Amino acid sequence: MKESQTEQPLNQKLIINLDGKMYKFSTTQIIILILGTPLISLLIYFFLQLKINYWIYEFTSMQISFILNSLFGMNSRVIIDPEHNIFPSIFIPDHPFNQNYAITTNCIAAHIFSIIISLILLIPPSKASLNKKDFILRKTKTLVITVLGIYLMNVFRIAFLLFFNYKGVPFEFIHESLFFLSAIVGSLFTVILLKKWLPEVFISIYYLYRLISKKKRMDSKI
Amino acid sequence: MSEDVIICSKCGKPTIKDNVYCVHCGALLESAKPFSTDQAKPYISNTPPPPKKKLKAYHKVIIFFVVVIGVDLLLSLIVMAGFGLPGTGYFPVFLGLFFLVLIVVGIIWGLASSSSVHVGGGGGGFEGCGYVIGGIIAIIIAVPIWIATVFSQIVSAVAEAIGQAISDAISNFFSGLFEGIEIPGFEPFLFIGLFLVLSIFIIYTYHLKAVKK
Repeated sequence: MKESQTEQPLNQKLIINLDGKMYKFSTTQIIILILGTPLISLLIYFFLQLKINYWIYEFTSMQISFILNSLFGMNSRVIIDPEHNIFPSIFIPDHPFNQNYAITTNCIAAHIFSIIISLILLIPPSKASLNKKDFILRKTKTLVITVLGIYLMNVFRIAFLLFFNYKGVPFEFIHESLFFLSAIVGSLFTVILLKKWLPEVFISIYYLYRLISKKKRMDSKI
Repeated sequence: MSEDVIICSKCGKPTIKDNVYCVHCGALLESAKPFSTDQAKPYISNTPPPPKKKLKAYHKVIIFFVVVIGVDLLLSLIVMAGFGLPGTGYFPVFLGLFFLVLIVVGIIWGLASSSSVHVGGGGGGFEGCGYVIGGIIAIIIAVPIWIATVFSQIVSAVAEAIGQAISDAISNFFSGLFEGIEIPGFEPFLFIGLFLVLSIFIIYTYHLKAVKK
């Protein structure tokens, strides 16, 4: 009896009240988020490898080349296959070890983009909230800023990688170190943005936990 | 004498065991169980049954966190040894990463828990956070390092063999399936792992907020 006074009745729909906002999700929404994210991210990842997306590789290579030339004066240039069969590469004259660097799918952080995009797209809106427009706005804002932020970070990562390699630091060493650094910064950046603008992603998972525990309690009472 | 017959303690004559009173003198038989209405009632205890020992929510979160980091650590060890990434000089970077993550996690934990979490007796807030992180460092970082140091050769040989086998299997499978398409390596796993660890702690802060209310 006491329990029912302090908590929501077991037969009622669960509503979580956090920071003055009400959150209510359906199980289907949460399952779609959990199972759909890896699947959609795989689809996006393979989509990014299609020839129609060659411009992304081209654009990224040009940006990197621009940073290399303007910041470090390396006189680099981008080599592009007119038939789009080979990845674009950055040519650096007078390089001590390697003059050509191909910009591949993993170089442009396609896997990270696909994970982030699919996750943000599948974040469920709260059914207790009436303002759907606000949710879409927040989603768009988070998507644009996250993608732009990760893109910029990745472009600078590659530029610094090529610069340090040009200066004599072994490629493997600098590649792995910068990869670690960018993964830490990228994940922190994404999590902070999601917590600020789209807390539904975390709350929906927490909601699932509460639903499961509620069901357990109901089963034990029966 | 039959087993169904007993001797009455008052008159000393044999009587049937199942009887309540002696058929000769009417005395109450010792082995007899006098019938009362209380016997018909089911046994009802006034004391409540002992509560089932349940894991508290934050214990569950800690266990989940420990499992995630453990799996991440093991996977990374296998990947480092078996997937062609440089093994030497890589481990300190990896350790550094974990310590960095733990510090971040500690700060988030401390800010979230303030005085509501009491781990390890009287400790609460940052103190409790310190205990938890200390425990995690001791168990998750120190033990695998010790094992990896002692059995490094065996671990690396086994990991290399497993890694090679997995690598071959994956490359054979995908090279046939997606010819000309690039397959991601294990790079996203670091990002995903970090993302998950941070997410767990954010979810935990929400849990604390919800429980407080």
